[in-house]
Amino acid sequence: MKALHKDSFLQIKHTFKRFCSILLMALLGVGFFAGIKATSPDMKQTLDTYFDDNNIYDIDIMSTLGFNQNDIETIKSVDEIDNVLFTYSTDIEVELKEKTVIAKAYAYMNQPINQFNLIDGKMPTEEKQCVIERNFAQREGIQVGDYITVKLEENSILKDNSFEIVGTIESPLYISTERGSTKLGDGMIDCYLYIAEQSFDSDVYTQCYITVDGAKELNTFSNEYQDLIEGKINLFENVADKREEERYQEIMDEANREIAENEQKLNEAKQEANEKISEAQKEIEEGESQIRSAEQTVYQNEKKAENEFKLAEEKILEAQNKLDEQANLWNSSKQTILIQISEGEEGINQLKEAIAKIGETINSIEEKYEGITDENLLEQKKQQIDEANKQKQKLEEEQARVQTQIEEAKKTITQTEEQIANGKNEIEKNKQELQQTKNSTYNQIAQAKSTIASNKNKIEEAKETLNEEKEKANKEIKDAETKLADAKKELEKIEKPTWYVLDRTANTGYSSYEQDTERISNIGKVFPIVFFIVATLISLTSMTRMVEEQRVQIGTLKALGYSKIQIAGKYILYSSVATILGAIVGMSIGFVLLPKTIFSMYEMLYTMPDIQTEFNWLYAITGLVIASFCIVGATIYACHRELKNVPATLMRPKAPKPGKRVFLEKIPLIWKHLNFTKKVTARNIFRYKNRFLMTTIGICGCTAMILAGFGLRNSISSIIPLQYEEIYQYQMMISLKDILEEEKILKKEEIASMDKVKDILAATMESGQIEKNEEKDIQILISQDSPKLQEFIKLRNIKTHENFTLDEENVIITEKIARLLNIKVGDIIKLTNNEGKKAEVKVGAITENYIYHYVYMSNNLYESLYSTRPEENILLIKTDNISSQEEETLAKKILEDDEKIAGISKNSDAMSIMDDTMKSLDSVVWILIISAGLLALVVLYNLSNVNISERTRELATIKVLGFYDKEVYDYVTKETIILTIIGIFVGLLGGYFLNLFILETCETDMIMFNKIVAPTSYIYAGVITGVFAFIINIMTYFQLKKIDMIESLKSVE
Amino acid sequence: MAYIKFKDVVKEYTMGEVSICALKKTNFEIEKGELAIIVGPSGAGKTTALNIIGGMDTATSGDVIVAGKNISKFKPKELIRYRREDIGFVFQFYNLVQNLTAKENVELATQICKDPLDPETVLVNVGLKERLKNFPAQLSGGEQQRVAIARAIAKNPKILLCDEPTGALDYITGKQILKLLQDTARQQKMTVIIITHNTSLTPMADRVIRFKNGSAESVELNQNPTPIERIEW
Repeated sequence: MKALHKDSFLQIKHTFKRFCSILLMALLGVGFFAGIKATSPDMKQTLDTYFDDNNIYDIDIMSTLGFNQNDIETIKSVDEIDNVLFTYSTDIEVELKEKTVIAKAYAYMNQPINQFNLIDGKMPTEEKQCVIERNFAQREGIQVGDYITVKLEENSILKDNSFEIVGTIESPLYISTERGSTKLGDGMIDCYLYIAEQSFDSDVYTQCYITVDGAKELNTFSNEYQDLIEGKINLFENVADKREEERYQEIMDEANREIAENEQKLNEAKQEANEKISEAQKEIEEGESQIRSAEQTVYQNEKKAENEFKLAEEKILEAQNKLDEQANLWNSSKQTILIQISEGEEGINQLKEAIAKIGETINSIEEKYEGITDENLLEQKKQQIDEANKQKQKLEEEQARVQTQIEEAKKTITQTEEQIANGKNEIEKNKQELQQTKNSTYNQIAQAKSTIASNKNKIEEAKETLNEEKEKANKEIKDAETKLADAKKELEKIEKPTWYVLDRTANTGYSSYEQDTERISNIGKVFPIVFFIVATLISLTSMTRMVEEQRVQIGTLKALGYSKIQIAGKYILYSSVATILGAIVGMSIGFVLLPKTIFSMYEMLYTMPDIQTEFNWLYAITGLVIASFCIVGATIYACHRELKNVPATLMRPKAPKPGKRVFLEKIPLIWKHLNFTKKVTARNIFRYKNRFLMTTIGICGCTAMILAGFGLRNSISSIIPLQYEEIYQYQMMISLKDILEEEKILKKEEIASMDKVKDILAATMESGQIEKNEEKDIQILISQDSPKLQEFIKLRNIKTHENFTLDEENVIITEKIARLLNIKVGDIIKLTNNEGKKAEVKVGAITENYIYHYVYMSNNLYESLYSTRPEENILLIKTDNISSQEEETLAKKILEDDEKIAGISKNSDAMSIMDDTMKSLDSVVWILIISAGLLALVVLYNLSNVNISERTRELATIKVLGFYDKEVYDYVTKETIILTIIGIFVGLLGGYFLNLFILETCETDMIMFNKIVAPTSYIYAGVITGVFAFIINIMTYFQLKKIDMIESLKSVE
Repeated sequence: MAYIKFKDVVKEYTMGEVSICALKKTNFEIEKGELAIIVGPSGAGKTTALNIIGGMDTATSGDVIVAGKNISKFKPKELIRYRREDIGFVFQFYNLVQNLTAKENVELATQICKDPLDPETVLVNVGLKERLKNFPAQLSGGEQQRVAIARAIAKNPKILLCDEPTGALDYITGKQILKLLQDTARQQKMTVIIITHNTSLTPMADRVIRFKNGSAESVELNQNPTPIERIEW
């Protein structure tokens, strides 16, 4: 046995090329199988880890009325839940620099559930802080530290309207580019953000996230997980049923109580109002009577004062009169006195004269007695003088007495006059005093009067106010009453709250990711089969050839007494080593390369961490088992075929396969016209059926895979120009803000008049749902001008290109949604508009469309369906043939009016985004081409090896006959070429169907592929396969050259 | 000058480290139109010599002159042309293409020649009139060898080389084949070289070259070759 083993390994050394080809087949087969099979689990595992790492919810509950304390307690009381997060979320309109976008805002509340990755900045822990998704921030050039403004709706649960962006994030809740729909704006959510919970203000939580015990340990896509969650969902649905009822009752009770309370309040308010009014009236009345009494008092006081003044005046007058009398009296007595005075003064003067005369007498006595010294005489003189003096004295006395009398009289005059003057003064004074008193009294009265007047005014005002208040109060009360009545009416309308208990599949990103992984695993079901079939065929031919070559040795061994198994063991060992080595290398490469490559294509579509590749034992072993079954099985079969012969037969050369006439010979018309070499070729082709089959299958598989690769690219890339250039005839779509009708018309005209704008059409775009057995989201486009719409959006039959028009009864839906929901022309569908109203309508036509789903209808139809008039909210614009730069300028110009324009979307942008996605498809094409090429190379190389080794003798002979190298080459490869050509043609046909199959499995719900394969792709596929065949043929040429003619002399083995 | 001349022809095969000398300075000549037989035991180098004459192998050193041309100096392409135009080869195991009928096997050779004989005529001449459309598997060994000879002759070669043409055949059939070869040589004045290890055949040849240990030991000329019918072995 040892020798046999050794022989086996030596065999490897000697037939290294053959060994390699088997190894390579195992490598390709297992590598591709394991890789493609592992991709889907790897992708699932990657997402599961991503979800687990971030504690993503297992169950998401929403209620139309939010969650109150009772709800929270009930939910928390459910068994086996790991964690619960009650939080807020709301859709908001965010104003950016140039446009308004719609965002989904969640409350950030430390997130025990639904954590997210902070890419940049910090978490929004303080009021007025938020974090925004990274991709969106990048796309819009939003930086950490920027502020955003939110247009707050009425009764928004947000209380702030300006937020600082403190970070950028990536949330596992949003792995795809889909952000969901909303009732705001154009109905599509553009981004998500987390706002600090402090900025929310709501009585109830809007959202409830739950993680379930033991769910984290399970893979989210596994059946165990689904069973677990399904069980919990049933539980929560029961809770939901109960709480819906209870909550309804609570609300009703609450509402009733509130109504009752309000009624009471109203009544109280009424009473209070009445009381207040009457009080006020009383006050006014009091005020009025006060004023009246004050007026009287003033009047009385005035009268009194007037009387008093009259009396006083009279007194004064009396006094004056008296005084005047006295004065008159005085004047007469004064005259007398004055006369007396003047008489007195005259007497004085006389007295003075008498006195003077006495003086003169004295003087004359003196003179007479001058010189007389006689005493007698002197005595006489003296006597005379004394006498004179006596007289004089007497006179002087008299004068003095008169003087005194005058003085007295004068004094009397003065005194009397003084008295009179005093009296006068007194009177004046009294008069003045009276005047003053009068003035001040009258002032006081006037003041009192004006006070009264102003008080009167005040009272008038008070009266007026009172009346107003009365009216107001009445109105308020009436309002309150109507409100109350309304509230009562509303109460009847209150709907039961609805709870939605959702699992992760309700997350768009999650479910589309799951679908994508399913698609890959579907591809994994088909392609490896091709490889394994080819591997089986290759190893069958190789091993058969090898066994045949060693017939004699086998015979000898058998003759020596080795058992069949022992002998076959050598070949089994040989092929097993090749298979195992190939499989190990193959799976090592496959497990990493394929998942990574395929995932790299999906990275365009999903925001996720890098894929985790792992060594998947299941697929490793399955792959190895299948490969072993194919390759070692083929070996055993080949051995068995030979080993069943007895040693004697084995040791004799194998009878060459007899030549046979081929069917072509029976058609002399053709056969006769074939030249000799062609006849030989034809015979050979039909002679080596195995090779014929193998080459055809191998080449066919290769061509089919390459064609499918190109076809995939054609089918997907062709939808871009079809959608954006053929179906959409417009270049830009402007979404209008919610502005007045007239403004819209003005705006439309303004834009229409802009440079480069060729045509413009206003229409209505809403998001809604379409339902037929199943419900799907759809965009509703409503236009009133069907012929004109046709100029902007081609509505046509996909095959006949017959144009459709909108009528008053039927809607037109797009092809893909029709296929998804199996809707035929004439079917009735349920259509929900963006206000949630449902209506049934007939489908009039199904129109060609590739991206998203639309339903088109006329304004009148919309109005008759929903009994509301559609409000135009978009403008479609056709531009002149302009450069992208000009288009950019135009868009900017239009966007300048941010009062009326909510946003603009250019088809050219959409096209370039799609183009990027298309680039990722190139890698699929490359994977297919490379694996197909490898397949083709291995198949052809192997076949050519087998062919040559099988026919060495024949080839050596024709070389001896003098065939030039080229002729020998032709002799052999003519067959190969013909087989290759046949294989290519079969492959092109097969590739068409393979392409269809791949497209069918790869197509997402939102996109319809255009299932075409471009003529050039057929050419590429053919040429590429041809090139591979050519490469092998060149190798064959050199191999043929190496054939030694001496071979021809050897005996037949 | 002789039609075919071996002059100091050496042929060495290197098998890894071992070098085997198949021909050691071999010298012999064959004249035009002769039927030459090369005899010798196995491993004496006769097949190597034939291969060199037939342009299937080249001498390591020495000159091989055929029809005045030194074929040992030929380039590969010239050698092919030489094989194609001047040489007809009959193998021990016939080497017919199993997938072609008798006639087609002959045509396989004639289609590449400048001046071939008519395949059917040749086949009729070799006595296969009824077997034209038969595949090799439907023919007996002798018939197959006849087809092989027909294929060689139909090329209208200057030299017909036969490597143990009867090796795989029974006595009678072998004799018939040899007769066919002898007749061909005689009638068509073709130079025929036959290799055999059967020395009893030598009388039929014009020239007998004996090989031993990698060189032509002796060359005998047979003035009156015996017709094959009269030779018994």
